[in-house]
Amino acid sequence: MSSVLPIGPFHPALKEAAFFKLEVEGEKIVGGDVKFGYMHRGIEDLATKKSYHSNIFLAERVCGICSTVHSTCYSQTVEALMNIDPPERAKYIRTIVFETERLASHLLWFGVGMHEIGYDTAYMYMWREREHVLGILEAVCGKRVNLGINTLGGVRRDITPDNEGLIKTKLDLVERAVKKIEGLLNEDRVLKARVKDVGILPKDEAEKLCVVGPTARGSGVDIDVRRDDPYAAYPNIEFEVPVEEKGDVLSRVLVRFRELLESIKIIRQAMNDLPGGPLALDKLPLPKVGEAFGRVEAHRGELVYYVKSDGTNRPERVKIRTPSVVNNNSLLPMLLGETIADAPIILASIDPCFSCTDRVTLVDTKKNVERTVTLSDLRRGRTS
Amino acid sequence: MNSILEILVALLVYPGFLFSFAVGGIFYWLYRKVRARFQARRGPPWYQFFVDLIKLFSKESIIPYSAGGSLMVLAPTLSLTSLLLVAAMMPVGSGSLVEFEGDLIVALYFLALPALAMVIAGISSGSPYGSVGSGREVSMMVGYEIPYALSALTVGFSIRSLSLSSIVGYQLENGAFFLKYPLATAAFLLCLLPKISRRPFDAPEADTEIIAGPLTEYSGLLLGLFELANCLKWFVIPAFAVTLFFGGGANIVEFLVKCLGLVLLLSVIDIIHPRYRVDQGFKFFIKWALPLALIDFVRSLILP
Repeated sequence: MSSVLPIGPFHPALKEAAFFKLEVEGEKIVGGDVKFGYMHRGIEDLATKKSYHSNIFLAERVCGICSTVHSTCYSQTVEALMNIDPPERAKYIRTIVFETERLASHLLWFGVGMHEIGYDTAYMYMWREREHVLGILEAVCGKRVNLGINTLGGVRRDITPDNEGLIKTKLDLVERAVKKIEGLLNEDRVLKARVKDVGILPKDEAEKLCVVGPTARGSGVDIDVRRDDPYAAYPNIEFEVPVEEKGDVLSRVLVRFRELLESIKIIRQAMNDLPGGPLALDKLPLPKVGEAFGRVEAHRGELVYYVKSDGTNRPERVKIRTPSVVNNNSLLPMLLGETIADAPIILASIDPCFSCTDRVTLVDTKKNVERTVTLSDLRRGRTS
Repeated sequence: MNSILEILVALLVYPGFLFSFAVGGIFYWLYRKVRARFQARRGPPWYQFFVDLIKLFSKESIIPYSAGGSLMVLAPTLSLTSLLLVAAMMPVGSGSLVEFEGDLIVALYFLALPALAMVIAGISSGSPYGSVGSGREVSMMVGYEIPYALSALTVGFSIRSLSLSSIVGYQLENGAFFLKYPLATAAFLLCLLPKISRRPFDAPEADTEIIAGPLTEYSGLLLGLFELANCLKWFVIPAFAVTLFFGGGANIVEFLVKCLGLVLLLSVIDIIHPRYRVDQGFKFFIKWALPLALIDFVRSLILP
C-alpha cells in the first residue's frame, strides 16, 4: 500500500517553491508527480513592454544566482539582431565575470548539497569560501548578486590594475578551498555512502530527456556550449569539458567539482590575455526586423534566448528557455526506486532553479478547467 | 514533615528536576555554541534555550484534526517523566535519590522510553512526515538498543551486581571500567549518538528530508515539553555513560567535568559528519557496535 508524502511547496529541502508529490511505500518511492508554477512572474510578457536596453536589467533578474548569464545571453542575442560585435576587451571581461559567477554558483550548490545530506559544517565552509568569489564580483562589478556589468555592445565597468591583483589573490584562496573539497570527496566515507549509486540517470535516458549542463555531463553526454558554439572570449581559451559516465549523484558532484577547477583556469587565462581597447561601442543601431537566437552555457546547462524584432526599440517577443526547464523533467526517473532519504540530494543534484522555470497556467474558475499557455498559443495571440 | 520537604527539594531542585534541567540546558547550549564556532558562525547566547522554552510555553498547542489527541499529549510527558526518573536514580556525588538492587535494568528501560515516546508522537500526529520519522526511529532503535543494553549489562555482570551505586563504588576503588572494557565503552558511546539524535545517526529527525520527523505537527506547550526532554537528554544520557564507564564522580564537580568532556566529544562527532541514511545507520550498528559490545559482554561473563 502506498501513501503520499508531499515535498513542497514549502519544504526545508527546497530553496524555492515547487511541489513534489511522492508516492511512497514505507521509505521507498514508487511513483510521483512534479508540479511547478508557484513562482511565475510574467517576465517574457514584461520584456515586450520595455526597451531593448531596459530588458538587460529584466533579464538579469530572471534568476538570482545566474544573473550575468542571462544578461550576457540577452545582450549577445540582441547584438546579433543589431549586427554588431562588441570590443575584444569587453568579451574578455564578460568571460571573466561569467566564470567567476560560475564559481559562486557551484560553491553555493556544493553548500546546499552538503546541507541536504546533513553535512552542515561543510555547508558553512563552502559558503564562507564563496565570500571570496563574491568579493571578486564586488570589486569588478560593484555588486555581489545582480551584477549589472553587461550593456548592449560591451560592458559597463573595467577591470582596473588594482582589481587584477585582488582577483589573483582571491583566486588562490578559492583554489585552496576547492582542493579541500577534493579531500572531502575522496576521504569522507559517510558522504560517499550517501551520494554513490544514488539517483542514477543512464546515458540513453539522459539523451532522451534532453538534459543539459552538468546533469547531462554527469551521465556521459558530452555537450557544452562554451566549446561547441563558442561565444565571448571562449574561442581563444583552452579548457576541458569534464564528463563522467556513471550518471549517479556522485558523477554530477564530480563534474561540478572539476568545473570549478576549469573555471579558475579560464579566469586566469583570460586575465593574462586581457586585451586593451575600449569597453563598449559608442553608437548602437536599431535592431533590424527579424529574429535572433542566442545560447550560452549557464551554470546549470544550456540557456537559450530568442528575440524577435519589429524594427522598433522594443522587442516583439522574448523567449527564455532556462536549463532547469529541461533538467526538471529528469527528476522523476531519478527518484523512482530510491528512498525518501535520498530525495533531497537527488533534487539538489540537478541544481534546480524553479523561479526561472515557471510558466503560467490559466484556470477558468467557471468551467473549472486548467490550461497551460504554450508558445503556439502566445504566437497565435500575437498574430491574430 | 521535615523529611517530606527534604525529599521534595531533592526531587524538584537538587539533584532532581531544576538542577538536571539547568545543566542539560547549559550542555545543549554548549553543543550549539561549539557547533557554531566550528562552522565559523557566532552561535546563540547561553540563555537562548531558556527563552525559546518561555516562548514555546506561552504559545498555543495545536492538535491536528487527524491526530490521536490523547496519545499526542501523552508522548512528551512520557519522554520527560522517564528522563526525570533516570536523573533521580543517577548516583551523583554523595548518592542517588532512589536506590535499589537492579536499578540498572530499570534505568535502561526508562532510557529507552524517550525514543518510544518519539515513535508514539510521530504515529499519533497523523502526518506523513511523522509516520516516516517513527518508522525510522523504530529501525534505529532495533539497531542501537541491543548493543546499548549489552554494553551496559557488561558492567553489571562484571561485578555481579545490577545496582548503579555499587557500580560507581566499585569504580571508585578499582578504576574506571573504560580501561577494563574499552570495546564495550566504544559501543556504548556510539549508541549515545542516536540516543540524543545527533549526526551521523539523526535520520529520524532529518530536517531536509522529513521536516522535523515525529515532531512536525507539534507546537506550543507540547513542543516545549519535547524540547525540555531534549535538554534533559543532554544531561542524563552522558551522565549515565559517565556513571557506568567513567567512574561516576566522588563529588558533583568531578562528575560534571566528566559529563562535559563527553558532551564535547559527542558535539565534535556531530559536527564533522554528514547524515547516514537510516538503513546505513542500522547496518553500522549491527556491523560495528554489536560485535564490539558482544565481545566484552562475553568477556565479562567468563572473567569477571
